[in-house]
Amino acid sequence: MNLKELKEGDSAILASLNVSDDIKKTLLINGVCLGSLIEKNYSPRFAKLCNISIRGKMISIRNRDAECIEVVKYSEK
Amino acid sequence: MKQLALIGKPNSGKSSLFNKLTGLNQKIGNYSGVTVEKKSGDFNGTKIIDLPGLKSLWVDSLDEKISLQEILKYAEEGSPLLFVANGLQLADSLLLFSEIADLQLPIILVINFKDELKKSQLVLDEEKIKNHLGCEVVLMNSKTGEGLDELEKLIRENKAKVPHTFRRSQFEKIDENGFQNIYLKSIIDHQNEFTNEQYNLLETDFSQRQVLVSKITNDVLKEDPTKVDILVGSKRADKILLHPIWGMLIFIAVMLVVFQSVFTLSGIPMDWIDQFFAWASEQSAKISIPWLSSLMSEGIIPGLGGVLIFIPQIAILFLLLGILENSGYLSRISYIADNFLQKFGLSGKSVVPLMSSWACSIPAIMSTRMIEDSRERMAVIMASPLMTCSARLPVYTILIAVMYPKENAGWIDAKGITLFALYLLGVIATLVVAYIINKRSNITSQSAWTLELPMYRMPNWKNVFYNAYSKTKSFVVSAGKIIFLISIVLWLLASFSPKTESFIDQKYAEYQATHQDHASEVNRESIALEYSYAGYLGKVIEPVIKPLGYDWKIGIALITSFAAREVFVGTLSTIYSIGSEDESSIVERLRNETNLDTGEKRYNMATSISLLLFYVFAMQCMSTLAIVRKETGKWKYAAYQFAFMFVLAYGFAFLAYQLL
Ligand SMILES: Nc1nc2c(ncn2[C@@H]2O[C@H](COP(=O)(O)OP(=O)(O)OP(=O)(O)O)[C@@H](O)[C@H]2O)c(=O)[nH]1
Ligand SMILES: [Mg+2]
Repeated sequence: MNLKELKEGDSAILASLNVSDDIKKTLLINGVCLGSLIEKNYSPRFAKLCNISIRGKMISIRNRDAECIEVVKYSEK
Repeated sequence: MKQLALIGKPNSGKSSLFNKLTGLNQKIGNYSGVTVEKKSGDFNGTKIIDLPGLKSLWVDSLDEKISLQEILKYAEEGSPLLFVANGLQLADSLLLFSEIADLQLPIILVINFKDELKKSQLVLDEEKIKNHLGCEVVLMNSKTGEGLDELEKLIRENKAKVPHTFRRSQFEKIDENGFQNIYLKSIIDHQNEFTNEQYNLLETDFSQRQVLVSKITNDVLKEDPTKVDILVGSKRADKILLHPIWGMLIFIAVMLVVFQSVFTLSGIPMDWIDQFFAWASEQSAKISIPWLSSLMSEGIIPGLGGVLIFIPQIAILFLLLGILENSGYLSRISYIADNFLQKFGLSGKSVVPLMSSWACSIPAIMSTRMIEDSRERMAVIMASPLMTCSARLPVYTILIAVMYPKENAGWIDAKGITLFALYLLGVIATLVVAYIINKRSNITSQSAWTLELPMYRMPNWKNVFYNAYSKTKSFVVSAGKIIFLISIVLWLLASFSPKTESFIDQKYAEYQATHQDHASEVNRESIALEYSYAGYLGKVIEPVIKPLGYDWKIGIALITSFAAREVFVGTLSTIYSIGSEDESSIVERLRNETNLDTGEKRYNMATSISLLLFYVFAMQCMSTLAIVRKETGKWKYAAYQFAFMFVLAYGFAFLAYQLL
């Protein structure tokens, strides 16, 4: 499952970043790295941006990048 | 301690803390990338340095590069850092902390946002975190200054310590040269090139840091069972403010409120200033030394008054933009606009510089340093001076007042609509120029893009007001100085003539004889002005501007306003008050100005629109050109910008005058 497919309110753990090298670097320095726990936030379709919370920070990622980020849905149970 | 530099993630409260320590008033804002240059101040003999926020040592924007350069310098000198962490995003801040700790610099750690930590029922175990990190830790609130005493004590007692390193194994290797630590070298080198191998190294490095950091934060932060997610409010607000319909409506409403407030709220104080200058002019007319009385009442006072009357409008504009910047809403505008701006080769990141251009393009162009994509950055630098800056406001307001003599009733009137149209034209011109520059540019574009949405916060009112005040003050001082000088020079040029009095008498009589149809509207002073030094000078440039519908007086005002746009109004005020007996306002005088050749009003529709268009497009600001040169590193770009804006200005003004 990729980041874009997550539903609002879902939590997940980042599993892999299948993006080009320069995008990978930008994601990493924003803290989007493997093993991080994220939560998907409200992301209106028109903006073509995917909003997540990560370590208390809210950031937006372009949808085309979010589609290349594999996540594993996380449930506290 | 000799010096102490503030380092931390963007928007973590570094500048707020800097202001508390030094008593200075650095700009604060609730978005990433407020500070884009190094600033220093003093605290009890220790030099405190405020730096742009840093997301990571593996930087990718210009403002971050400035911070990185500084850190690398400190690493060599071993000079200490004050690391500012955001308490609510402790894990995020500690990621950067871990990178910097590996450089082995002495550090004091400030954990900021104590108030918000408390609100979210999170308890931080200070002893534990000190042990984990190996340096002194202070919990504080940079907004109120809570915890400042403790920090000041640590600074005085020189308590910065080299923290435990986190991990460097990714950047350590053993080869034929023996054991090597290539961490620092990689950071320096990566700015030039980055190999695929390095990217992979970096990815592993980050995920391992991430694991270490979350272990620490899990250990030091005690979550109360009643823990509240402090972001909930912001998330809820975003569901409305980012909504495709509600969000758009609110955005339009916010813009309308800003726009209308600038014009309605400023009305009364503007009248006061107007009355004050009228009074001052009357008083100085009574001075018994004739030349001084004339210099004051016809030169300096009208010149200054013409521009200073706009203080209220400019102050209100600065204030409202400050509130937008401090609430967190500005980043939401970036979000909403991102997709639209991509059509022009820009992105949501351009919103901050473009909107600050409504105040002034100088800080706006500096703020482009936080745009990672250098191609986008260049387009914004070249195009943003087309946004309607506050110095155009006086010019527009005066000309619009001349164009529409009748006072309209109601909230939105012809004047308001014209002004709005001019702002809109500025935006359209900016976008089109950005598009063209982008298309023609050979700078490679960066496709990676992320945007941070800060949580909504109450503005730091003191800082917002102070900033609006200091920007208005610098407008007054810089415009005041130029206008003061120019009005003296103009008064001299316009009051004296190479011809004798009898020559002017003769010319006046001739004029009366040859232009009988409108002779009564022209007095002797108008003729005298034509034959003054200023008149002769103006006539030299007249052929160039005649096709735009301007006479030599407007020409002189145009030339002086190449120093700064607002000087136009000051110059016209001075020129038109010389020799006029009545104390009518500048707008009245412009309205009554006759074209000596035709006897018609000088400021007819065609001339006024042509002038307005000239000001929409022309690059009349030396300071902006200087900053473009500084930010792009080449005069070529400033010259190019000046040239294309001039061509646009002349072209549109010409078309407007000829077609209307
Ligand atoms: N509630 C609260 N707000 C704070 C505190 N410290 C700073 N702020 C707010 O946080 C925001 C960011 O503050 P700045 O001082 O501009 O942050 P900065 O680290 O200099 O940001 P950059 O220059 O962009 O890197 C502003 O809205 C401040 O008013 C604090 O302790 N508590
Ligand atoms: Mg700052």
